[in-house]
Amino acid sequence: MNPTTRERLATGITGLDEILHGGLLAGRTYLVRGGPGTGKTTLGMHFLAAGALRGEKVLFITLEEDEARLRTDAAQIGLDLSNVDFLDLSPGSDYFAEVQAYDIFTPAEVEREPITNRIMEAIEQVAPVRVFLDPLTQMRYLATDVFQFRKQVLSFLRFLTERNATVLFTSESNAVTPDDDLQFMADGIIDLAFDQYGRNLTVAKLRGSDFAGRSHAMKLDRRGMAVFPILAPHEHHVTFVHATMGSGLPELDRLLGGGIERGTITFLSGPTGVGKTSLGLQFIKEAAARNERSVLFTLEEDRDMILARSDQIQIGARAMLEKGMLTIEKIEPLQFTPDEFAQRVRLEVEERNTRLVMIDSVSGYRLSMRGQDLVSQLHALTKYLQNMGVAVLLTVETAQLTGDFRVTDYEISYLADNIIFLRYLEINGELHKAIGVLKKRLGDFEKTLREFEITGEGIQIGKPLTNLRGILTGTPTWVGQAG
Amino acid sequence: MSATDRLLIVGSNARNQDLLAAFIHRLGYAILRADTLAMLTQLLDDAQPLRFALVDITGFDAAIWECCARLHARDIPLLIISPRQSAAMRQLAFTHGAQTIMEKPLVMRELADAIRGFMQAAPGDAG
Repeated sequence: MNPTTRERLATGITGLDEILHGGLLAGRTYLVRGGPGTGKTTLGMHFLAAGALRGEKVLFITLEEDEARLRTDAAQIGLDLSNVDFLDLSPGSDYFAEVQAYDIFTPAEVEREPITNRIMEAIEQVAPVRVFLDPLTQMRYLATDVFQFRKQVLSFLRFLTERNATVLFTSESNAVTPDDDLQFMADGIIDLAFDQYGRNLTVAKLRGSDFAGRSHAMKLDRRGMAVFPILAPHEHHVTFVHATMGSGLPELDRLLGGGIERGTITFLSGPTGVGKTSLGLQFIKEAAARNERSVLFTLEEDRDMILARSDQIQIGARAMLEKGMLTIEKIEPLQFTPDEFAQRVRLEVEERNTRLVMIDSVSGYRLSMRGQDLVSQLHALTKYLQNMGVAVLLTVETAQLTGDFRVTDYEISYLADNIIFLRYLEINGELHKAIGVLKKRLGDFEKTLREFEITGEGIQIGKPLTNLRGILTGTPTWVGQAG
Repeated sequence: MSATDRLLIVGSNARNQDLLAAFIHRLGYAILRADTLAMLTQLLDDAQPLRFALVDITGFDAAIWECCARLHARDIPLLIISPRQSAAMRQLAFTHGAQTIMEKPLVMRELADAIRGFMQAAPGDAG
C-alpha cells in the first residue's frame, strides 16, 4: 500500500471532517451531488481554502461561473481564495456578443481538444494537491456519446490522481441526464439536499474509509457551510465519578438523598407556573458556588424574564453570568435542527467545561426544533451528556394542574434517572405547592412530600408532609380529618 | 499548391466559417471564403479558379440556389450543408447541382473523407 493513501485532507468544514472520520483520503476523487442552490460550489471553496491555508497548491477549474464572481462569492462568506489558482473555462460575455455560437460541428469535436489542452497545461503548471472542478457534467457536452464521456472522465481523473491530486468535482444531474456513471467512477460521493426540515448532507460512498452514515443537518449562511453530524452518544465518553451535587437547600438534599449525581438526567416535572425553572436555577446557583459552569437553554421564556425572576428570588444569575459560571441561551422557534442544537451543547461541554446543562423545557424543545423524531434526538443528546459526566436538568410540563398524576405528557420518562415533581395542592381552600421525588436511580431518597414555596428570600422547602393523605390526587386530606 | 486546388466555403455564420476554414487548413487545402451572398457573387463574377465548393445554405435566401447553379455550370462539385433535411430542400439542392448533402452538425472524420474524395476525384476547373 502506498503510504500516502492513508493521508487525509481536511475539508475546511469541521462537521464534515467528523462525518468523514478525519477528512478526505488524499489522492482520491470525490463527487459532490445536489440540485441548484444546495451548496456544491460552497463546499468546494471550503475545500480549496483549507488547502491554501496550509500552503498547498490548489486549483479551481470552473466551467460555469467566472473567476471574478467566484472570488467575490467566496469573500462574502469569509473564505480567502487569494492563493487559489483558477482555470476559468466559463463562457465569457463575448460568446454571446460576438455570435460565437456555431453549429457546423458538435461542441465535442470543436471544444474538447482546446479545453483538454488548457486543463493539462494548468495541471502541469500548478501541480495542485487539491483540484475542484465545477461542474464536471459540463464535460458531457464534450463527448460524442456516453461511452466516450465515461472513458474521457475516467482517463482525466486518473491523469489528476497520478499527479497526487485530490479531486472534488460536482455534477448537475436531472431526470433526463442522470449522473449514475459519475457515481460509479468516484471514490466518494457527498450528496447535498434540501427538504422540509432544512438542508442536509449525506456521505453515500467513501472507498477505503469508514464514515458516519445517514443524513446530517447542514447550514449555509454568511460564514459558508456548516455541517452538524448526527450525535452518536456511544462515541463520546469520559471517565468520571457519579459524585453527588447538592442543591444548596438542606431539605431538598434530604429529599434527594444528598442531591443529584453527575452524569444523570433529572426531570423537573410539574404544571405551569409551579416553579420548575426556579428549582433548576437553584441547582445552577449551587454549581456556581462550587465553581462549576452551567448553561441554561431556554426554549420558552426570554432571557431577561429569567434574569428578572432570578433577581426576585435571590438566585443571583447576573453575577454568575459575569463570572462566566452561567450562560443563558434563548433558542428561538425553528432556529435549529436537533443536530445543530446538539452541536451547541457539545461546544459547551467539550470546550467550555460546562458541568450542568438545563433544557427548559421538553415541550419547548419539541415545538422549537425543526426535524422529525424529536424524542430520539432528545434521547441521543441526554445520553451524550450522561456519558460526558454532565448533570442534566430537563423541565417537563404536565398539562393538568391537579388531579391524576403524570410525570410527563410525552413518552420520555424512560430517559429519567431522577424525577423531582412539583404539585399544586388545595388544602382547606388554599393553594399550596408540594415537592417530592418519584425516582432516583443511584441511591435512596425520601419517600414523603414536602411543602414547596418560592419567596423573596428564595426557595423554601418545609418539613415532610407526613400528616397528609391523597397528595397525588391534588386534594389531600389531613390524617384524622373528618370526611 | 496551385490555385486550382482551392476549395470555396460559403456560409453566413462567421464562427462556422472560421471553424471550417481551420479544419480544411489542417487537411492541407487552401480555401476561398464567402460569408455573404455579395462576396459569393463577386467570386463567381471574378471567375476565381476553384476545385470544389462547400455551401452551408443556412441563413441565405433563395438567391443562394442561383449561385449554386452558377457553380454547377462551371463543373465545380458542390457539397451542400444544411441544418435539417427535407424532401423539398433535397430536391432544390440536387436541381441546382449538389452532388452530396450533409446535415449539421458534421462529423469531422466524415467531412474529411468527403473533402479528400472530392479533391482527388474532381476534374479541376480552369476558370
